Amino acid sequence: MDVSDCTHTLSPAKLSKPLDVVVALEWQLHEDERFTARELVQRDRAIGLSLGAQPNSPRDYWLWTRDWLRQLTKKDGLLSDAQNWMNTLHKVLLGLGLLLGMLTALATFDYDGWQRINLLVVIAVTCGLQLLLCVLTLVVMLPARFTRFVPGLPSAQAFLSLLNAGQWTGFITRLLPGWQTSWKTLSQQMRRREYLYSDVKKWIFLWQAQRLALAYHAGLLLTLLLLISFQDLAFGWSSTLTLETESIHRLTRWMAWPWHNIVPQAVPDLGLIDASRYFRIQGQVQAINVEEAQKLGFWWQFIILSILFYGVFPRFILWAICKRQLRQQCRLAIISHPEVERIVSRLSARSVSTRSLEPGETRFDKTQDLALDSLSRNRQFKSLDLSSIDIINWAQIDMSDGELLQLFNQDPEISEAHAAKPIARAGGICTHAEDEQLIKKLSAGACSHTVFALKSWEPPLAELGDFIKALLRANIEQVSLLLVAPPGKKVTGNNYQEWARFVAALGEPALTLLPGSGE
Amino acid sequence: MSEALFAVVGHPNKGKSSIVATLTEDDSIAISGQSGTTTRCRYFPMSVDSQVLYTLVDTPGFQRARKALRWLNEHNNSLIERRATVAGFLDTYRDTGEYPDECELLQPILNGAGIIYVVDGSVPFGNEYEAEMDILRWTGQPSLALINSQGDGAYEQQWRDVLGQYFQVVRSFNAMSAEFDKRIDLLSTFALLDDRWRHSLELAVDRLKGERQARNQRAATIITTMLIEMVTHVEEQDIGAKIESKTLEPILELQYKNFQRRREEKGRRNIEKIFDYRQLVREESAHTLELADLFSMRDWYLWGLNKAQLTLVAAGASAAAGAVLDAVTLGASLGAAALASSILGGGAAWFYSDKLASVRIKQVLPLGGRTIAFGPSRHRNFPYVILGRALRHLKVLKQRTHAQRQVLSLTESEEAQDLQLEEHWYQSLEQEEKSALDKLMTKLSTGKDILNAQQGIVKLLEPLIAAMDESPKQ
Repeated sequence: MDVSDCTHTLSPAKLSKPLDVVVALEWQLHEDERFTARELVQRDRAIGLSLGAQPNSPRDYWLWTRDWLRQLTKKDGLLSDAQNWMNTLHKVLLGLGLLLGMLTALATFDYDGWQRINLLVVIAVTCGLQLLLCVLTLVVMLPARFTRFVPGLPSAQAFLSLLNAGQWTGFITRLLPGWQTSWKTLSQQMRRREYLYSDVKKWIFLWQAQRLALAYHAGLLLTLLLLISFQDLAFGWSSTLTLETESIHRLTRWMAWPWHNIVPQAVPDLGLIDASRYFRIQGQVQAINVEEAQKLGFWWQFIILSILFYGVFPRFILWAICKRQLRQQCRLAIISHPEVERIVSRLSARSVSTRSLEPGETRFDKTQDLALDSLSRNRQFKSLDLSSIDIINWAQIDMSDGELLQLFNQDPEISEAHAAKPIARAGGICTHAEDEQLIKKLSAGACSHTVFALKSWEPPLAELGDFIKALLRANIEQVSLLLVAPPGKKVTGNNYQEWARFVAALGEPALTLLPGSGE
Repeated sequence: MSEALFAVVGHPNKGKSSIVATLTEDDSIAISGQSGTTTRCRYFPMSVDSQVLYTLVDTPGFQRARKALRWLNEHNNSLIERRATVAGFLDTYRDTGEYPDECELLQPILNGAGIIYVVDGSVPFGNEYEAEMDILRWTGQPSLALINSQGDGAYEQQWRDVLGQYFQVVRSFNAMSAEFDKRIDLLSTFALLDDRWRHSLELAVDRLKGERQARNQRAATIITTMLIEMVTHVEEQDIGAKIESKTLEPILELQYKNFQRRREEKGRRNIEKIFDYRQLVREESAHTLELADLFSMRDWYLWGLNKAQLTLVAAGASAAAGAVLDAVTLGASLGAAALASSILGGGAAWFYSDKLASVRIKQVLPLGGRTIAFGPSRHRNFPYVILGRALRHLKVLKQRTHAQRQVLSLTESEEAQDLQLEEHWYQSLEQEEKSALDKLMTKLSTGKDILNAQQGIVKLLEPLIAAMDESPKQ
């Protein structure tokens, strides 16, 4: 897959929420691991040029990352699967909250006509418990810079976090189908950056918990309204404790203070409270008249408003705070993300390329190396009979004829005898015409064997190949090559291999490579 | 603006492709000891946002220079017509197969390329070079000679004497070991060849320096991210109520170590990607394997701090904590808290210097069950070891050029270790840098304020990494 295939400007994914951007960023980083730095630079610089002015502030970094992701991610990709899966999870949680609220309502407002619904229980469940949970949530929400000064508070926070309903999402996610395919990789990747996402995670859990609580209250209110509509609920209050009517009145007046001006009929008066009191021991025996029974039903307005003000409203505020904090933490995580700096750098920095755009074409043959290596090791140099050969100093090796002859035959007498027939010169500074004349001269001579003294350190050239072929065509029966080492050095194995490859490539059976002079 | 074009030409097997690979940072170019590896011209445009500033051309070597020169001499009547005669040579022999290498290498020069003539300063000058230098002179193009010594460079002066007669500028440049600043110097030299190319080459040099700086910054970020992820990593395993946690501890520790090794490997690959090494093979030979392993703790002093340094760092961090207590008591403790903390912290670091991380059992509420966790590592030396290894890898990588094809060895030779040829990275820091680093590493080891530590480490690493681009001072 080519890097350019990753750009999908036609159907960009919807990345409106910062959390979506965080998820998309991690997906994209996972996808980008396949590409080289240079490929990514080329891709991203092209996007960067369409994004306008250079980023200067952290906010710019956030916007550039979001816009970059919008151009890269596509609607029908893996990210979309993950988002859909996350939406399903949200729906499951909302359904769970609704169900829990409905069950709570059915249990709390259970009325069979035999005994009144105890208002104290209702207030405790719908207001007291909810306010307590809200306070605990506030404790968890406290930032570390405050909690670290209060001994034991960080531990309490950690413990309360474990109880947070949002934590359940972690367990539920692993049970739902699709976790493996959509989220496992991403989850592992994000866990590696725990230091970056720990606050994001905290606010996700808190936000989820508030959503769950709001759904719970929705279920509670809905069920209560249905019960009120289709049942004749009778509320009362009763307690083992010796509570005075005035105490309850003070409590209800205090509770109803927020709406006493707007909905005065939802503020219970002393008479209603007094009339609502019942004792278990009186049971059903105590007969009440119709007017009193009707009066007992007035409580429903107070209860509904209590749930709204002390259950729904605080939760709504907490939900708004959590949502805001989550957005902020997501933005902060993106701005602080170590990869984002690199991304913005790729988007904003000029794309520098030095590589070739075309494939290379070579005649490099690696397969021959071993065979040639063994060939060079197995050969032994033998002295040549100087009287039966012509010697050519190819490309003018900087040695006297005597020194060169020593390389061919160690016997000084034989060398002296051969000195009468000087070593021929070709290649190097000699002109091409001189080379041609030499070929004619050698072919007309008495010797049918020509030996080249060659600079082992220089690579063989095609012009030498041409020369050897011309010699063989001109009735020279055998040609040998002797490699001469540079002054004070030896012929290396690499040099020998290089020349052996040359001999093999020429494909002339009459051509042989002698072992190097210095070997 | 005339586009700057440079043809890298010369005798076969003198390192033309190596020079191109080093200057273009392209390790895909075929380089071998075999001569005549390059058969066709290959163009390497240096572009910034698709605007080409200059182009290097890798060419095959001369194969029949004398014969070609003979043809040129036979077909030329005056100095003025020499360039036209070379063009005539190409027209005559292009696609005939008679002079394939000469035709291929001369074409970009006749198209206006400056000549970069490459020779090997470790072998003596030979007469066979004269013909090719003559042909190049016939083209009349601006020219520069590079002495690329593939061995000991014993004949550099001899070559300088000869090349000075043919070329405007003669420079030494080792394609296998040229640091970034030397490569930039060479590009700046190209600008001397023709005034028309000066602007684009100056711009190219400026952009390449900027690109290098950006790469160094990215490398600092990558190393820091890797460091944080490795130090803060926790290996967790959910276990039922009945399973004995002791039986799982060795497995968990193994998984923890495997993660760390994989993460380090990934970090190295990312760094190699940044510097455009796509085909790099690292040495993992048996004799260096133990030394190369991240968890060979007895060799940690090579990468991180030794036991004495470690104790000092831990004592310093503990003393700082004790000083806070002294401040709370308004000095009533007369600094005793700082002193005691210092001794305790230092002592703990000394005695527990072999303990990587500990196992914890976590109760998972509200659904019950337990989680066994290994890590994060609180070992004081661990972050230093990770950082030391990462810096070593980066340094070796930067000392390398894209022309090198041998495996990358991260361990120093035993001789180098014995002689302590290279200063330990921590020792090379200034005292202020050491203190700042120690504080940041303490934050990592204690898991506090990691985001700030991240920014601090990146800032500290950037100049260290940038300094690796400079040639060692003579």
